[in-house]
Amino acid sequence: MLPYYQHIPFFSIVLLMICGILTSVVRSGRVALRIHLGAVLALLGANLVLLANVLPRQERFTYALGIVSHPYGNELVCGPLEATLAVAFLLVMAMSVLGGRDGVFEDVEPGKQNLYFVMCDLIMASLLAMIYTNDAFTAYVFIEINTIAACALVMAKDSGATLVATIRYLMMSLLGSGLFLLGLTFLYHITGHLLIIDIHDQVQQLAATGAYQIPLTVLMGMMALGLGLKSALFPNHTWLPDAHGSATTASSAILSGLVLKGYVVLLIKCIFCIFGEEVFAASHVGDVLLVMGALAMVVGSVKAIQETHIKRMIAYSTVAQIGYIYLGLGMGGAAAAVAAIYQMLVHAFTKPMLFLCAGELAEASGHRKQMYYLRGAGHRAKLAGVGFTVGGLSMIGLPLLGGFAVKFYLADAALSGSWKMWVALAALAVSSVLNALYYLPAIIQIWSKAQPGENLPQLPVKRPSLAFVVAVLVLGAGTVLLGVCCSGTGALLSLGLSLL
Amino acid sequence: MSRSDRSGWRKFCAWVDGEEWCAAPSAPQHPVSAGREPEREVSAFEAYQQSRRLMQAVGALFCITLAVVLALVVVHLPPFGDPANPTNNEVSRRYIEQGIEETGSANLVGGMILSYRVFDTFGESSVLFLAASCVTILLRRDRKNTTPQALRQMAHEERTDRKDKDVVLRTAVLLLMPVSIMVGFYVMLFGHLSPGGGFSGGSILGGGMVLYARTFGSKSVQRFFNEHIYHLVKVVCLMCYGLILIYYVFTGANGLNNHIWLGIPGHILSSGIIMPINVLVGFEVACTIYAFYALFSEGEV
Repeated sequence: MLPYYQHIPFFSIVLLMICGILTSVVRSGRVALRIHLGAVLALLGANLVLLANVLPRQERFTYALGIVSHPYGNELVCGPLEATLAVAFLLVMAMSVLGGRDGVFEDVEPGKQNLYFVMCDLIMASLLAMIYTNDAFTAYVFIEINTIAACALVMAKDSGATLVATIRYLMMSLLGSGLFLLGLTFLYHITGHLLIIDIHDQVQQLAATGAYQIPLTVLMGMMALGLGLKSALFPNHTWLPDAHGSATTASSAILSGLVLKGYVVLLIKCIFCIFGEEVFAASHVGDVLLVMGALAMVVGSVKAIQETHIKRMIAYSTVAQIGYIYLGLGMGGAAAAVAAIYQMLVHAFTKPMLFLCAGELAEASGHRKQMYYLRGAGHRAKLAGVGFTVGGLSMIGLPLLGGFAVKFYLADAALSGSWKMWVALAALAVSSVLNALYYLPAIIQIWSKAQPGENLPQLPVKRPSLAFVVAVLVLGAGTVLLGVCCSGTGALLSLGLSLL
Repeated sequence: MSRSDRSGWRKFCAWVDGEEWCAAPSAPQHPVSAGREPEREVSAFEAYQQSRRLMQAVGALFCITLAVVLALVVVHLPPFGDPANPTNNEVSRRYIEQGIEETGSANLVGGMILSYRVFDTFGESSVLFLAASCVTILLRRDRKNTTPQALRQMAHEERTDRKDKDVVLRTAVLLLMPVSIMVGFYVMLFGHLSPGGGFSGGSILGGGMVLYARTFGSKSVQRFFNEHIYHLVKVVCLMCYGLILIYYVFTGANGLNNHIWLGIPGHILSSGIIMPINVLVGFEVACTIYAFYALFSEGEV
């Protein structure tokens, strides 16, 4: 018999899928929400147990899915890095849904609310599968599930804007899936395997003998481009502001905080587990990612500065923040990759908090999302104002907050002396200033009282619901803790990365 | 200072001070209670229309580049059907040589996707379930996407359809229906012996139902297949599949004997979990295909 904790990854994925299937016949949206939250919180506990078991042992185990295992069937794999990501994602998922609960019940038609939570269940299942899979094709299957469910989350609000945004999102996302699938097909053709560990061995042999060099390079580019497209890497970010800016608050939080990260996790798997760091560096695909990431950091912020719609501003900020992740991945080396993963965690906590708070601020301003109407919104919804301020300052990179730790790790990793150092440092400098240039005015706007001459209606103070308070406090605590305990988290991540 | 007169610099200063937002909100300042503000996306769409030329050029360039690169890759890929190809390795050899023995399925592909790679296939079945749920979110009639006028129009069409009895069509469908149902069941039940399986059998079965509904009206289908039955079949099939998967994986991962009776390959009752899964998937696919049709045409199952 296997030790009990090794079953946790498989049962986490299947349990969420079964919850999704059962939820589709639940009539009430509230019951569906309870099922979803119950499942996610239970799995959060289970995955914490898993982390507590693999971390002291520094263990990374594989789990065969079926009678016949390696190299014939599907497999899952779990080590400290996977378990950490799973715990963080489950926590953020629960909090995003909890905090955006009221918005979902308001925006989604009553008869269809249960289906919204079906999508949440399946998105979480697919994220866990992407984290835990040891099989490249399983990864693709769950990319499909993730893509469709993510589009449904945008579409669920069912207004004209969300439908247009969904179509754009769907087209771009399918293009990304297609590129990834084609790359995977080529990879299978030249290696003959689908299990990641076997592909890795074959790729190393191919790189040593120099066979199939052109297909190998092209497929690396295609898979990186496909995953980059799906995670809104510049210049393929144009679908993101519409999709994330117009969807209901919980959807924006889930899409920005988690869905984009799932593809980044896969890209990390591709780089470190499938191709191997040296082969990937030799192909110079990483350099392209670095430049794209640096451009995203600047362009995303400039676009955010031009926005006057708070959710679209935050959505453009996501484009810039995704750029940080790709900057780290493109730089190459373990230290930079740790910085990229750190950014993934910090952004996963901070961005949903910003979206939830922005949603609450907008609601306290009479459902208006233009910056103009948000003047003084922080006084009408105090907790949302504080949460937005903390999130914004973290994005700018104030010490003691998560964003600072990321910038520190990125800058530290960049100090290698090559040309990449200059690109990375310049992008970091420019982007930090630009971040401040839109988050600070927004923060000032929500905390300043209306001028006498302004024609702003007097609005009552909005009492936050308990669910919103819990969600913002947990996400805020995550942002702060990631900033305070940065050395411990960094050590955990680099240990996890070294075991890949 | 001359520079401060320039509107760009002024705008910049105003924006740094947070005043730009106060100056010109794009929405008219109507009272709060009047509802939500106009969505910005419309203007984004207009901007897109204007830049369509450029987009088309970039799109064409991207497609041509991709086509050239892909053609280049194809030239360098291993030749088709060469026995020395990397894909002809121990994995495919195992499937071919020991597949029948290990899965009990005479259909090699069916055996592979439903035992060695059963987890993937469960994911694929969920994709279908997911797609049906998405279509339901989008198309099921609710107050946002239906008007009373459209409902009247639909009722009117239903009445004219019923009056307008097309004898040739009805007779043909009555003759075709049993055949298509039988073929569907055959493909489903013999999926482990011959080409076919749950997905293809289910599509044929669902196609038969769509044909029937198209000819006799969806009201006549609702006599034996309504929303309750749809949900029941869908959930029961997927749940059973999930439970089979859990049992199979749990025993497999622990190295336990799973007590699954493989039978004699080639017999109808053989191949362990493969035939039951084929039947379950087949029913799910049939339901989903019909549900797609019903949701697209009527907005309800």
